[in-house]
Formats: sequence, structure tokens, C-alpha cells
Amino acid sequence: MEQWAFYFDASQCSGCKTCQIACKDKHDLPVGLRWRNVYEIAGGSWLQKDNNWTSAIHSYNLSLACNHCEDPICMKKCPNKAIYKNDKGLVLIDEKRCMGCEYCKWACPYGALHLNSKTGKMTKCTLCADYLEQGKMPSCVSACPMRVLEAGPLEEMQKKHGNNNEIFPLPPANITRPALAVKPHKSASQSLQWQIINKEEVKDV
Amino acid sequence: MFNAEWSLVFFTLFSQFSLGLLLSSMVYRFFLSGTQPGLRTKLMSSSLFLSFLLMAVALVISFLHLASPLSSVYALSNLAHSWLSREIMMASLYAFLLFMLLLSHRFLTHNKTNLLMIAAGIAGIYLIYSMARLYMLPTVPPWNSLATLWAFYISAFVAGPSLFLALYHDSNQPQIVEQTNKAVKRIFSGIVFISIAAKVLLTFLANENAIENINIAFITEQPLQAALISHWLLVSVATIALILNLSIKKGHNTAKLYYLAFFSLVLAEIIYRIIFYASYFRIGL
Repeated sequence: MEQWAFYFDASQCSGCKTCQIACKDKHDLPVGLRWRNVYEIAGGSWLQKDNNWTSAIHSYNLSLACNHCEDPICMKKCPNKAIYKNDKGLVLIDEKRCMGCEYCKWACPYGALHLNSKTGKMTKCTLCADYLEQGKMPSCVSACPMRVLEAGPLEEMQKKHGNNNEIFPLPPANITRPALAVKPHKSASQSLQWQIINKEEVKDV
Repeated sequence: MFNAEWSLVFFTLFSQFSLGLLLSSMVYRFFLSGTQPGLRTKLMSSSLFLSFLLMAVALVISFLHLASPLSSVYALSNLAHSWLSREIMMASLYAFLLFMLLLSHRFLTHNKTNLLMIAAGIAGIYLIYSMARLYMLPTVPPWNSLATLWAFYISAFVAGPSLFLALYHDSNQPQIVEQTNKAVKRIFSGIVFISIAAKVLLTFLANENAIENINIAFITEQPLQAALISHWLLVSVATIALILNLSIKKGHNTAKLYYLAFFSLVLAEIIYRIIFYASYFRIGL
């Protein structure tokens, strides 16, 4: 079975959130529901030397939707078998079977699942499966002005960009084996007290 | 957390209270009721009815958690991998067995009732086990320990015996109060005391990060401290009520103190369960 994946270049992402808007527009998501979130990560502090203060703050952005994991914990935990993988390895939800218990949301370490309170069903990034059928790229990938997002078979992404799929604040990849390749920001390797500084923005409403 | 999880607080607690009451009824029926056949019938009727009622209410409440309850017909599809599927199956089976037990107590023979009781007890014990296991997610560290399992069974063993004691003393006719079985008081009070001691031990052994990881978007430190203090005050009230009842002279009605102990423990467990859900913290994003 083929496994499609996202590639994200954190070293060049401007945090403009065009990807987030493109996804929302394409899928006509209601207010408060986002399938793709852009996390702003910052670490470091200000350093004082004599009477001067110098910024030693580093930051980068992380645009993340669903990683269509090779071993999705959401699929294993769903009591209704409403979550399944298609022939492209995309993790999709059968809305007819979903009862909106949010157990998958509790389990997913990437925060990929969201309850649509209007329909009462869990929803998530589909990697624009319908666009893939038409030979088109997902809307977030096409819309990105910085060209930091790509999508394709995981093997191709890893061959082209390497197989790094861990960057703060992502969890260890061995839990769910995300189909994701990430180019980290140059500062990401520094041992700083990194934190997400836009938590209120990315929280589900 | 709170909007969606209120129903789960009461679903989990009522299920656990139901099991605690059923197991207490079993202990009484099998080991302690020999000299009190008349009392046994009356007491079994009320305790089995209450046990079933608690579980029935728990099941109804559990549906309030679902955004699309009509799709719950598919809930038994993933018994192979999902503890939530197993919990749903066991909750349904346990409730069904309790209902059959109610009918059998009235219409069937003593032996058949005993068998149904054992079956319901086993189903209930596995229900609480699967309930705890579904919370033990590898991505949720505060919940992913034996402390969750321990806490869920403790809820059953503090509330069930204390309610049974209250029902026992309520069912006693005044003329036989003097012959109140000391063993009943001591055994069931003992179970509650041991469970409270286990609760104290759990507090020291529990994941120390659980308190720090509580989502501060929902609860600040001061309300948490107040909640914990209230919880332990209520447990202390229940403990004192039970100790008083043990030392009280024969011939005095002690049902009120047992009800005080029961309701104090129920409130304490509600507070502790809210803290449990508020401790939700998922690794990653």
C-alpha cells in the first residue's frame, strides 16, 4: 500500500497561515474549526550586558495538520471502526459510523482530530483526497506562498528531504510513526526552553 | 474539559457505586445473612434495585457524552483493539445481568439467583477494569498508570459498602436492632476503611506530575487546592461517622450516620473524579 505524506520546511515558514485559510476555505469549515494549525514556537530570553539588553530569543513556525500516521493510534482506539486508511495510506473518517465520542482526539498526540459540533462528527485533514484523485495537490500545499509544504509518497519525501519527523513540540515518532518529513529551523537544535506561544490561537473553540 | 466530560464524571462514578453495592450485597448474601432470612429478602430487594438503578442512570448519562448517539450502534465494532468498545460491551452486559438479577430475585430459585449474582459481579469487575484501561492512553501520562485502575476500584469500595450499611440499618426492624450483626458493621466498615487507606496511599504514590499537568486554561492552582482540601474533609467526615457507628451502643438507630458517611464519600469521589478529568494532559500537541 502506498503511504502519502506531508513535507514541511520549518526553516522558511513565515507563519502567514495561508495554508490554514486555504484548508478552511476548501473544506468550508465552520468558525472555530481548523484542520491545519500554525504553531508559533519560541525559546530563549533577553541577555543583559552592562546597560544593554540583547535578544537571544529564537522562534520558528510549525504548520501541522494530520500526519496520516503509519500506525495511527486514533484508528486503533476508535470503538466504532470509523477511522480507516485508504489505498494511499490516508487516515480518513467514515462519518456514518462516528458517534462523536472524541476518544480519538484524546489519544492523538498531534491534535489532528476535531469535533464538528454542528454535525456531531469527528473531522480531520484528509490530505484533500478528492484533489489527489484529480491529480492535484492538497489546497494547503498549492496555496503556500513560501513553498514550504509538499505532499507525495512518503518514500519520495524522505528521499528528497531526509527522514526527520521530530521537532519540538512533536512527540516521539515511534508512538504512531507519522508520515511526515520536517526540515527543522536552524535554531531548533539549540537547547532552549521552547514553548508554544500561541496556544489560545490553536485551541479548539 | 468540563463541557464534554461532566457526563463521564457521573457515568464512571455511578457505574462504580453500582458495582460496589452489588459486591457488598454478594458478601452479605453468601456469608452473613444465614441467621436473618427475612431481613435478607428485604435488603436484597432494595440493594439490587438501587444497584440496577445506578447503572441504568449511568448508561443514560453516558449517551449525553456522545455528539452523535445514533451512531453508537457501531460501538462494539472494535473489541479486538479498543478498550472503549469493551467498556461499552461490559456496561451493557452488566446492566442486563443486573436487570435479570432483579427479576430472578423475585421469580427464580435461590441457586439461580446466586449464579446470576456471581455473573453480574464478574461482569461488573471487568467493566471497571476496561473503564480504567481505556483511560490509560500512552499519550496521556497522568492517566497512564495503575493509579487510574486503583482509583476506579476504590470508588466502588468506598461508596458501595457504606450505602449497603445504611440500607442494612434502614431495613432492620426496631425489635431486632439489638441483634444487629456486629460482623456486618465491622466487615463493611472495614472494607471502607481499607479503601480510604488505599486512597491515602494512592495520593502519595500517584504520578506527582498529575497535579502540575492540570490544564490551567480550566483550573487555576487555588481552586485545585480548595478541591483537594474539600475532598479530604469529606473523607474525614465519613471516617468519623463510620467510627462513631462502630462504637455506638446496641439498640440505637445508626442509619443516619451511615447515610452521612455515604453521601460524604459520594461528594468526595465526585470532587476527585473532576480533578482526574482536569488532569488530562496529552504529550505532543
